[in-house]
Amino acid sequence: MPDEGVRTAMDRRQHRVARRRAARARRQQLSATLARQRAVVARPIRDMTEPAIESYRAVVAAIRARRRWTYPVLAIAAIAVAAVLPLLPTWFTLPLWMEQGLNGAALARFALFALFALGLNVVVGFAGLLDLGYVAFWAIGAYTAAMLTGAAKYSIAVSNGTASLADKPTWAGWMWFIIPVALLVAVIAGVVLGSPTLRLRGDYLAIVTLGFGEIVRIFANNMTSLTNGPRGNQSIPHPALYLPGRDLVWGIFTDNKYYWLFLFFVILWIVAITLLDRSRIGRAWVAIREDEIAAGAMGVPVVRMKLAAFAIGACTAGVGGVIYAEQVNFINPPTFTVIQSILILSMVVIGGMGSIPGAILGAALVALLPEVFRSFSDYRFFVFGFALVVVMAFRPQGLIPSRRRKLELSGHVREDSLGDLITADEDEEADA
Amino acid sequence: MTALLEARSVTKAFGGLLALANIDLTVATGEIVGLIGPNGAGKTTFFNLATGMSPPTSGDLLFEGHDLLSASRLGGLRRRRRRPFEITRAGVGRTFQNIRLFPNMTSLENVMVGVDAHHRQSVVDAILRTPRHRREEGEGQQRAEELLEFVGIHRLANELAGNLSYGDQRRVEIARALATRPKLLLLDEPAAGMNPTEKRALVELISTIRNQGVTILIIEHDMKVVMGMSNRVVVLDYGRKIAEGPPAEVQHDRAVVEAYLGATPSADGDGDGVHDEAATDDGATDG
Repeated sequence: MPDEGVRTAMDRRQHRVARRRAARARRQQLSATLARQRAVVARPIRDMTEPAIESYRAVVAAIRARRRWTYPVLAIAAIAVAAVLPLLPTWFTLPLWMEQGLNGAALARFALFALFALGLNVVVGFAGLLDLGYVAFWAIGAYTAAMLTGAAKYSIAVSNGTASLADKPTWAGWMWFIIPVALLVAVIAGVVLGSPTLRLRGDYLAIVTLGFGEIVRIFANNMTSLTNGPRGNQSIPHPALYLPGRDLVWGIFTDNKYYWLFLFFVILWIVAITLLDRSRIGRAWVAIREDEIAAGAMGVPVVRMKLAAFAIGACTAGVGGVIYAEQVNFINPPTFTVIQSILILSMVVIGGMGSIPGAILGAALVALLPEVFRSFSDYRFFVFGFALVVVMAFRPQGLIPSRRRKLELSGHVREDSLGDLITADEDEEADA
Repeated sequence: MTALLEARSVTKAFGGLLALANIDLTVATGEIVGLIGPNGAGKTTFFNLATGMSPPTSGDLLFEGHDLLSASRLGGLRRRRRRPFEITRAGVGRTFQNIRLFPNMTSLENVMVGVDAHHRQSVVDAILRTPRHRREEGEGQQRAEELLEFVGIHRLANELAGNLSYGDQRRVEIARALATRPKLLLLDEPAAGMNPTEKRALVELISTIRNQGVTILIIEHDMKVVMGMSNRVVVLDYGRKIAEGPPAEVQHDRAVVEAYLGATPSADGDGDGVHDEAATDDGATDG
């Protein structure tokens, strides 16, 4: 460090770097000391759990350090575990309550509702739009499937007594295109519902969407010439996939393949929604949820982004509705009552609004608990309801609340830049 | 210097209450203009009009010589109101009197929302991770970090905005407003609740922002702050413009003194002392 009056810019910079390094070292030393003191103070309480916490931390740290490959590996492991769930009862002897939760039908129901919860989580959790009519899009997807496969027409003919067995709809390979068509129909329905209503906020939006859900159900009930009304649509064909070498034919609704089909879409949606969440779109949604006026003032196209959230939620339910219709073979309006909307909403809320793992866990609890408690016969809904109340009383933020992802910062941190717009200049002058 | 923002007899009525009555106001490019007046004078209402949050009852706002609040529709046949986000994109950024950050987002994300104002990526871009998405995310985060560093709180980038101290929240808000690349920045009481040191840093920050070519219209109650840095001051009272001019002149304007201290027949007494003091301060800063 030259002491003579004239210093080059380089010297000054070196000086500053050295000073900053020293400051950082001091800080680290201080925080280490503080941590030691804190550990000493906390020891009596934490002694019991210390090893567990330590090992948990070690695991988390190990994952963090190698996340480039641990996250994909963990994801594949999770998918593998989810995929073999329905096979467990055939491999092992399990207690009855587990077996009741792990059969194809119960798991398919769980995966269907997981898909719905993911979709509604975008609307309610991310964008903060309280939608009480989500079931409408499920119904739209299901009825689209019924109409496009010809099941609706066939059911009407059966009601009129003019049907012949030859008219009975059968599955053809091109029927997979029903899924994208239903997706599109649901998006259009979402935009049609959304554009006039999304200017409303909070409670008002909830009331309008509640009404929309009922309108769709009542429409399906009364529009007999199109939907066969309360008699419903029967003989919706099961899906099939004709691959070279091996044909995949989905059977009746307990077939495990439905669960895997739903699981495929759940995974697809998790990936897509995670990517959306970590983009301009996801930030815009959260900004709207947090403060709509400020979001608008910061250049967020509020109405457009709300519509996007609504449409994405709608198309999720539409896709789920198609596969649901194909699985259960028969749909009628009473399936799509407002209570289903409430159930899906409660999955999102119990799991933690805006949290993707939360939505899955919420769906697992709400869809599977009644199955698991089947042995309690009529009391099972009481137990289920009680479990919900307990969760909400002790964890109102949800079981897995969402946490904002910390972004990796680039290195150019000026550690002492706070308030230094003035002091830095003074330093400079003093140095000169 | 040309007029960046020009208000032509802007009136805003809430029912029978005239919040703003025939206000003419011009902000030239590169200026810092102070907008002052007692509580309820209509200052924030003016900001709300200029950012498209509420429509004026009558009058026009011109920005760079064009109509700010409406855009042509159907090939120029009809006009429609512009939404706040379009006005923000046109180059008017603002902060709020009662801080309106997104409390459950990190400060970095708050600023990135502002940066996103000029981004074009769609839902499809985000899901497919197209080159456009990657470029915008990368550049966006870098710019947001630079802005946080510029306002001096890069180290708090990953803290939730709701957990920051009051002064730091104000800084994030300024960074977020700057992120929208404003030509005109509207600051609504940025110094409220700050201690003298923070205020000093704020004044320095605002003049740095101006030196980078951003024109500033500032509402402020702290006379030391507003008189010290404004090129011109506009005074509102009960929705009317009662004075306009360089700080030194405005401070001695009789109508202004009355508005702040109540009507005194002689326009003398306690008030003078206060204002003289402010005036000397101003002189000191200029010198």
